[in-house]
Amino acid sequence: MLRRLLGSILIVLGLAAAGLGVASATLWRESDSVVATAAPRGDGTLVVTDPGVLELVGSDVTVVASVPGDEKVTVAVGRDLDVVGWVGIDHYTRVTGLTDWTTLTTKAEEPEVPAPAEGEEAPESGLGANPAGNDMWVAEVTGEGSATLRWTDRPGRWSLIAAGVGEDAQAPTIELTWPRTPSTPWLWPGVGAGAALVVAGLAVLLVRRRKPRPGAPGAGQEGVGQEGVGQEGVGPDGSGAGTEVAPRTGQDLVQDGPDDVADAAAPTAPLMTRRSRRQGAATGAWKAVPAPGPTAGPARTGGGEPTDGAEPTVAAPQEAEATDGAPEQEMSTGAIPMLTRRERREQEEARRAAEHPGITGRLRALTGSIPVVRPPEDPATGAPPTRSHTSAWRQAWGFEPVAGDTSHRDTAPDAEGDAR
Amino acid sequence: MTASTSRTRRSRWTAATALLTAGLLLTGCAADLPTPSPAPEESGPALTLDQNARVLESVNKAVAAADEALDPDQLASRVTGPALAVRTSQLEVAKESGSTDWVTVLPAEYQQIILPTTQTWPRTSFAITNSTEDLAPPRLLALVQEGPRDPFKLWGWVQLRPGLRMPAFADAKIGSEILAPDDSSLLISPQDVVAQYADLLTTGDGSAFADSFEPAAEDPFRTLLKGIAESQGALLAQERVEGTYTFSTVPRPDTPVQAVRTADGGAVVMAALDGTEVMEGKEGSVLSPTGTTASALLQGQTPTNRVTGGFTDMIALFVPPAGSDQKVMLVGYSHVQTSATFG
Repeated sequence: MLRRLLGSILIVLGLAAAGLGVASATLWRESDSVVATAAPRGDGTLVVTDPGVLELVGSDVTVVASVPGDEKVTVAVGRDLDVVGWVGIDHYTRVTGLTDWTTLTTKAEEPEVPAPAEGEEAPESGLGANPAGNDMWVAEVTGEGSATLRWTDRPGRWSLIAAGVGEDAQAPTIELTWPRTPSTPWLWPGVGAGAALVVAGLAVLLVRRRKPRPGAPGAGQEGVGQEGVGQEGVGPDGSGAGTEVAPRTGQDLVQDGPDDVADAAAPTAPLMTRRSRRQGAATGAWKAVPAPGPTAGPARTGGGEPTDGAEPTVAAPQEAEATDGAPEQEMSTGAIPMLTRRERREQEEARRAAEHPGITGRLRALTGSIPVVRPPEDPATGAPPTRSHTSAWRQAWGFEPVAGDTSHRDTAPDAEGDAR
Repeated sequence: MTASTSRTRRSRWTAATALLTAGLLLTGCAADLPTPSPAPEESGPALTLDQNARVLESVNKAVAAADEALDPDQLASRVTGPALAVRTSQLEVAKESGSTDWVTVLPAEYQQIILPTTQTWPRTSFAITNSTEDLAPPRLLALVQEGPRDPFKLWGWVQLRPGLRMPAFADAKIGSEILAPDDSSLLISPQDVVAQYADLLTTGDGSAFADSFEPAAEDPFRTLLKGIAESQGALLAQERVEGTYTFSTVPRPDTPVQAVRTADGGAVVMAALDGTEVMEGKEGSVLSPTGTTASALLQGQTPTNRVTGGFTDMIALFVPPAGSDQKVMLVGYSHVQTSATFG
């Protein structure tokens, strides 16, 4: 009882942690954009950003420059020294960075007038001048009342220049908007820790459940399933059996010619029969599993044909024969392709689902710690999945499908299914 | 049982960690304000190729509009310097003569773009066009941006000499150095080489500077001028006229030369020259202009025994780097009469 309580508490805590993690990325998530504004200062009609300001928060920025009324306003982006060159001796508002997340730091700039002769005419021509149309800009927009420019950062030093245009022009107010992908640093830690807790809780509950039946076939079966997983990792297409099988087999595959085939083919049938019989007997579970390819298997006429592809067939059972081990070792021959693992997992899943109906089963699905498995299929319809990615891969790469597939169709449980 | 107890302990730790995590989650949300970190300053072309393409497009548009309307006033927004003088004259001649045959064709297709790395102003860019449709030689164009608030304007052009192997320039994505008129890294400084070449055109092979330049016979511009001088001289030498023909050039005053570095450390120097042609017959004779341009320019004037023609000549010279034993070589030229007066 205490154990069940503990397990439940762990699960609840785990769900809470996961929930907090998710909430941190949803409910409490930062906003999707940063919007910062700059109010003009001084008596100029220009606003200029320092290089680096446009890409301060993100590489994409939307600039909105607005002036009171319907005065013309121009926004342009150019190399920083071009912008500074264009501004020349005009007074302007310089944007240097962020004061806080909604305010840009500004300061009034009054460039020195280099020569008095130029100083006389510059203020006249400068105020309200329109930067629009200059060859140096890489982007520009002119509008009445406001102008909006989208800018994506690119290599280089880029400055924004915004200008109120006209005789009574005023410097525009600048608003920079950066879309932001809010960081969700607590999402996966939360979910991960939560999942760990749930798993721990489940483990506590499960251990209690399973204790009374230590020798049950189910336990052994589970071990087999795990063994099978490792095995699959070695040889993705089942023919990887070669790695587990004694090296000699591999040599057979490559070197031995057709003369071996006769020898090889001969023992095949008895071995197969024996193995399938043994498997069927040792693990009654096999019967519960749908034969994945009752149609595919025989259709490929694997057994009788003394093809090259049949050789691994021989090799695998031989190995099994030699060790004559437990079902685990059977698996370690690798002659059983991926679908076997699936079947076993399905079966195991089904078993557990039966054992733990209700919340435990659902929690398992929720945590995702066990991959979702399709429900057991009818033997008749179960065929297509067995072709899985092995044959797809072979087809895609132009390998002969018959030889390859035949090899492990023979050893595959569907052949056994036939034998049954 | 002990195993599962320890597992439970571990689970408690996990639970504690998770709770701690959740707690931190609620508090730690503020991030630091970013500060501007601009890319480091580096030299590059003043314009990108895209920008330059737009510049050329605008120039072509202005030139085409002016050509269409035979209205030189439409040139001012995108044409300046000697190019403006030449084009204005050409359009006026075209209007007068009713023929645009003598209006220089400026193809809008480019085989090479030469962009400046200049960070101040003025800035000069160059472009080499493809051949024209009637297989006239490619043109080398120079465009100048006088100040930061000015547009790039077509400043001048030359037609490249036939069979020219154009010196290599830095890639337009890197940009080329624009040289000051008195740059000392060349065999002869840009402004001096132009003055020397002008002297060469005026005084011919007897010029003191002839040694620095390729032989006159290889120089298509000098060959052309020599041919004109001979044929005009022959015409004027007729008995009833007993006239003379002279041609002289000087660098156009107040017009800076444009010099851009080539890959081998030399430079291509582009400049405008004022050419003056004087044809004078004996007292009492009357000279009548030959050729469309001169006729158009002399329209309405009272003929006399003396005609003064003004030319706006543009030249481009390749100047080898200092210390080189190469000769200065003509890259291209443009020889356009822009004025003519009797007397």
